Amino acid sequence: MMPATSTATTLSPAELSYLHTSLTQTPPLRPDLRSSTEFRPLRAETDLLPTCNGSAHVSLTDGSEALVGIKAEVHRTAGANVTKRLDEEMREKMSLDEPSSTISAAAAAAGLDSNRKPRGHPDWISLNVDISTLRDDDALLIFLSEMLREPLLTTSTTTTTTTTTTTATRSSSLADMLVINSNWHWHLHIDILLLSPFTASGTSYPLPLLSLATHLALRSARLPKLKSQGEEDPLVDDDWESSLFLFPPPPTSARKPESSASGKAGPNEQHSIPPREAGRLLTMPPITLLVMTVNSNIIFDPSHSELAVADAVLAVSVSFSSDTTTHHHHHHHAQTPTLLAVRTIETPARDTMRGVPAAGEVVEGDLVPGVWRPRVGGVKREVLKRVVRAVLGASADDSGVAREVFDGLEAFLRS
Amino acid sequence: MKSLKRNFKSDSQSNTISSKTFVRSTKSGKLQKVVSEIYLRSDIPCSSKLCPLCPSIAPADANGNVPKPILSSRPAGTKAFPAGHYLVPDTNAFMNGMDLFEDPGAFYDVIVLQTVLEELKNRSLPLYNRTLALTRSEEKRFYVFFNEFRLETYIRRNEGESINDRNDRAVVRAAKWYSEHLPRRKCPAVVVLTDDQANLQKAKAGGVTAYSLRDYVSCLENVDRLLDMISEARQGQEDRPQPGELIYPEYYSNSKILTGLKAGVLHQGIFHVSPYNYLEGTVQVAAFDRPLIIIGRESSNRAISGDSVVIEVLPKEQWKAPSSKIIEEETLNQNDNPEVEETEAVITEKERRALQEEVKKAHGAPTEARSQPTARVVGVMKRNWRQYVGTVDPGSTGSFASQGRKQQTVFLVPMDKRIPKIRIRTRQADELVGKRVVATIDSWDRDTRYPVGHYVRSLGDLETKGAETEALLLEYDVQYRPFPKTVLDCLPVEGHGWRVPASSSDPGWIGRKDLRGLLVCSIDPPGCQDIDDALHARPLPNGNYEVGVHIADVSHFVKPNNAMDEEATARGTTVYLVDKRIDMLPMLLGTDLCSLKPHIERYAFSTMWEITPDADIVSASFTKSVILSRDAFSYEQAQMRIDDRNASDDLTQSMRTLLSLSQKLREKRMEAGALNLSSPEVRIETDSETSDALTDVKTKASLATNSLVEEFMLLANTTVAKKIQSSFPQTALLRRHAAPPASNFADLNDQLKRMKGFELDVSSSKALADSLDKCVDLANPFLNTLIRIMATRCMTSAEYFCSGSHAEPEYRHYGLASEIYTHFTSPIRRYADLLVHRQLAYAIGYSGQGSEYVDEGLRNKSKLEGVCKNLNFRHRNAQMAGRASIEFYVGQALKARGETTPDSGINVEGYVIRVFENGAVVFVPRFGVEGLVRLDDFELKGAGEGRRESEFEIENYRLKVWEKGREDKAASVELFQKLNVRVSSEEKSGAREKGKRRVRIVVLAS
Repeated sequence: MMPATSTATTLSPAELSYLHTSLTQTPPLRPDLRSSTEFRPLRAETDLLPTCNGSAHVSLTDGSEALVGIKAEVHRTAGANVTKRLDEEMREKMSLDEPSSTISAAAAAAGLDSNRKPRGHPDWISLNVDISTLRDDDALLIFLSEMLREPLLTTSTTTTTTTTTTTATRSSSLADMLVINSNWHWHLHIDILLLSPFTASGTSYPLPLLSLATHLALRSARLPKLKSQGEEDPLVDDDWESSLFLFPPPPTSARKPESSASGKAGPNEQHSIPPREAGRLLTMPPITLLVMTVNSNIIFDPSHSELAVADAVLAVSVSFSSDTTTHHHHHHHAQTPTLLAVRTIETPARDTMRGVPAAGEVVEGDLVPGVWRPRVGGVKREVLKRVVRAVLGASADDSGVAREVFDGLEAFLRS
Repeated sequence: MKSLKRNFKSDSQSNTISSKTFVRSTKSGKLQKVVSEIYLRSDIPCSSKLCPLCPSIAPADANGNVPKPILSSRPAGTKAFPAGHYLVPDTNAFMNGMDLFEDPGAFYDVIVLQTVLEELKNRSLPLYNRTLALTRSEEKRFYVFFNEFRLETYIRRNEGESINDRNDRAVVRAAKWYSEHLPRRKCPAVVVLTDDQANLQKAKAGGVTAYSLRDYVSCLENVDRLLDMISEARQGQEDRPQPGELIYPEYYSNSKILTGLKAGVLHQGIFHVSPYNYLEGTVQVAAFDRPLIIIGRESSNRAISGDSVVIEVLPKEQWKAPSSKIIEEETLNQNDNPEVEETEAVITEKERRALQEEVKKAHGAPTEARSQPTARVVGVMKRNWRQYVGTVDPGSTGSFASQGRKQQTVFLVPMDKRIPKIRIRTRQADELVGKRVVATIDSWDRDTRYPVGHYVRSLGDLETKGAETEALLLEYDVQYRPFPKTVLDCLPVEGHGWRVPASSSDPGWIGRKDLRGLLVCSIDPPGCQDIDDALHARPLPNGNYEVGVHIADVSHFVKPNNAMDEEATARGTTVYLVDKRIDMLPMLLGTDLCSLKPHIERYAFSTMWEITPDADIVSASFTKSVILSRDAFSYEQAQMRIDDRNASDDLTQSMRTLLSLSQKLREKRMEAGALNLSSPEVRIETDSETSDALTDVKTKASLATNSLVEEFMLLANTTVAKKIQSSFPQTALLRRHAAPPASNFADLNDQLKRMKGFELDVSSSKALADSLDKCVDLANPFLNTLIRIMATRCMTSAEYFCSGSHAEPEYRHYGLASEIYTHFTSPIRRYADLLVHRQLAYAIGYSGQGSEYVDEGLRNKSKLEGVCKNLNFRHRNAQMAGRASIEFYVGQALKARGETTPDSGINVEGYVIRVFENGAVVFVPRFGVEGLVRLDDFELKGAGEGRRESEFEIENYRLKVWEKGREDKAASVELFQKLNVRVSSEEKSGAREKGKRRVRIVVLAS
């Protein structure tokens, strides 16, 4: 359970009750007339900080605004043993040449031999959130940064069923992508800054804003192209134009018109970005969405006032991946959302003042319609299920909110 | 939301601001994304004298001077451009044709674009420096145009465009701008020079005149000579057929090398080729005490002597004893190259590590274990290619020679035996045979056995004095051109009429002591014109002596940082050849104004001591002074004067005092462990008019007066060193001689032990001095000198350094057994001394004339370190050039003798200093030369023309030679043996130096 969005709301119990009642309608009646899954308009720009490897600037209509910058450094991997690793590499090369190799080529190609592939370490990503009005040790700051960091480090396991086999594929985490070789890795510094003043009244809970900004910054992040190979110490191309995206843009939504044109050339035509590792999932950085429930209604992207009457507030973290092996022949490379985590956040409705019923209506402990009573939180399992379904999409036709958000953000990267 | 992104397209300021993004890798391994903003301006001048506009808008520099236009208003025309033209070369034009641009006959009025200059800097620092030198020379009219900062010529990189394409576009844009900017009526042609086909087309498409180097040169005069000067390296790339057989292994990738160096499995060092065996080289690396051996062409993998290479130790099975055979390129046929068989084993990293340990073990072991660690070159960090002087191998000119102007490939055989033959393509093969030719190496690819280069110029006929002397100076990189006008402008206006001001109120006298009353005299070799030093001694009332060493006050005439100072810094030292002296300073200073000539007042820098009769120093002082030398003696004259019992004048008395003090000083020095070393020095007195030039060759006589001067110079140097070190703890210019590692002496020690039963103790300089003294063979008195000569070669060479770059205990001068040392006493001929003079003047607070010029360089450690590096290099080269000159002179003298009386060599004593399987090296003290004695050079009793056979006893350093089938008549030589040899000059027969004579040493039958 996360701490509430801090301080109390300025709404009166009557206003709260009115809001609550509106939101429990079917479909819910939101103050700004949005549908339950509709997001407030968002504006974003990427790659604006010239000296950063990646950056994004995102703002919402309520005036909240965030800036994220990402810097990458080359670090030596702690505890790496040069000799041993070089030796291993050498043997590996030799053993691959031998036909009697115990590792089947297929298994090797599928990247299943996970002991061999160096894995990333969570410490390789430092994340720092700064909100100008808060102290550095403010609980909210710490929780926010953990909330943003956690999905970056977790990995999801998806099960892909092909005609012959069923393979469990562990998608690579962001940290895994930072591995250069067994001695070296990239270290990412993600600096997140909330530009707008953070006040008790007026601004909504900044988590989704920061998450989207981080997502965009990561997707715009580029790393210098390595000229060294294998176990050699890293040496990079000094031409920034030749740097590579940390998250290669998905081929369908390629940023340049000419490469989308080449996509039409036929099924044999490979997309411009070489598939990183065959069989592995091409992942995209996660996003965390804020969802609230009112009775059985699910409301996405709640505004400040809506939050004040939430029965429960949920932070749903989703990652995206497209399978490079199975979807080659599709023109449309679907980004499949995968659920990473659902966290509940303490609802601000808990700290509101209780409404006082009119005389004669006092029924101690019972709900009086139209009279506000602070919510105590908690969400029904069944509602939770529906939340997850709404986020991920229930069927082929219903792509889910996460996809919509993803595609929406894609437009900013393309511009 | 207000966008935070800077949008160059919509920004109103955008056309004057741009930015450039790149990744910088720092030394510590960090990567930085660097974004630099570029502010574009429109006042950068075109610098053409034709332009009416630019002079009015060109910005002034810090002193308010507007730079003068450089490009001529009437540039030279060619057949294609009768109205004259400006050249705009691109980067590869400079890469391929640097020698053309430097040619005095063509290539004037060149616009060097900033884009090109920056690209050149990235690709080749030496070429960049040569281009900068061209832009500084006034006569060539090279102008650096900062096109990247000028609004009209700056171009933004397109999306997806490579840097090269962008730069090509920038060149075209700049050329176009020039042709539009200059007044149309009298506009000369603006010609882009490029060797890149694509760029050529781009330029033409952009409406700019463009030529390839070859096409451009074809319409100049002297076509053949100029065409030969185009580099072979890159231009052949397009039309070269399929790469042939790859002879050499590929170099490791840059990152693999860096990783290997860091991990300690690869090593970096300078590649040296053995002078006796051109297929064997050594590389001294920091990790091991002794150098690693590199055997065979494949292992040396296209490295040329002097290159900084990266090497990998070979597996232990391939370790070999260093070759005991003389292998010269000329005697070997191409077909029977003793290339080393290599089996490429897969070695794991662990084994590679273990190998490094093995190397250390082997290096530590006594030399009995003959097998030495070998290595192979896997990469080249820095080429140290220079211009090489050599001769064209007439055998390689082929039968086409008669067909005249056809281009053909010939071999240039460098003078330096350690450098491989160079393939050059030339149209003038006929003219070049029998000439001294300068050429450079352009490249050495995997598929050519020999490096590819191009002709630079011809020095003249072989064996002529002019050509040979110039060749020698070029080989040792001695700057021998006359002093430019800017330097001569720095000389005093009075010229030879300059005198010490008579009135003591003149500013020249401020801070200067009047020492004219002292009985000062100088003692130098006969015929010395540049007298650096003079001495005096007089008794003091307390029974002690006052001794003064007076050194020419060169720093009074050479002010810091002017053209003369810069020239002297670059030259570093005066170079003495047999018949020529290449001065560091103009004659006027060196032989007149600074020189402490007798009977004339001169400025001096004096060091004075109070010394007890036992030669203990009581005190020392330093001052600038005016002296009047009473006499200039030669060593012999001084000796005679001292020995003359009848002479009892004050001057002679003072010389006697000096002599006795110097002997005591010397004793003390020897006591402290100073080494008495020897080098094979002969002097040649050319002024004698005798018919036989050989009698001019004199071994240096050592008189007591020699060591008189030497002792006081050492004393002065040491005293000054202490003084400047206390004033400049970080930046004093000192001289040190590192203690040689014991392993250097391992071979010599082993030889002495086996052959003579002597043992060298190298634990300290004192121990070494003592053990050298014991190496005496009564039957062979020269042996001791010989051993000293050989011991000297085992030592490291002394070097100049900046006091801050070494810890204090490292200041030690090993050979002189002095804690601290510098050079102070020869400022006319050594630049180091001049700097030390400046430091000393500052240290004693000299405030007279000239002290207003503050040399910031004296406190700038990195600058001083650069100066030291250059001085060490120049010093070494000057020594080698001097020796080579003597060798040449001896050869010439022998030749002259051979011409008058044929077949009469001169019979002298020789000593064996090295024995090989198929020959020996013999040192001839009479002429100070050493030479190879091949099997055929052994005179055997009653032997005919039969094939020679030999037996080599490696343990006893003994070589037995006999004619096939006549083993009973064998001759044998062993190390250190004294021999009778006949020295003569004879024409070489080999291809290497056809027409060149060599000194032949024949071992006479005893």
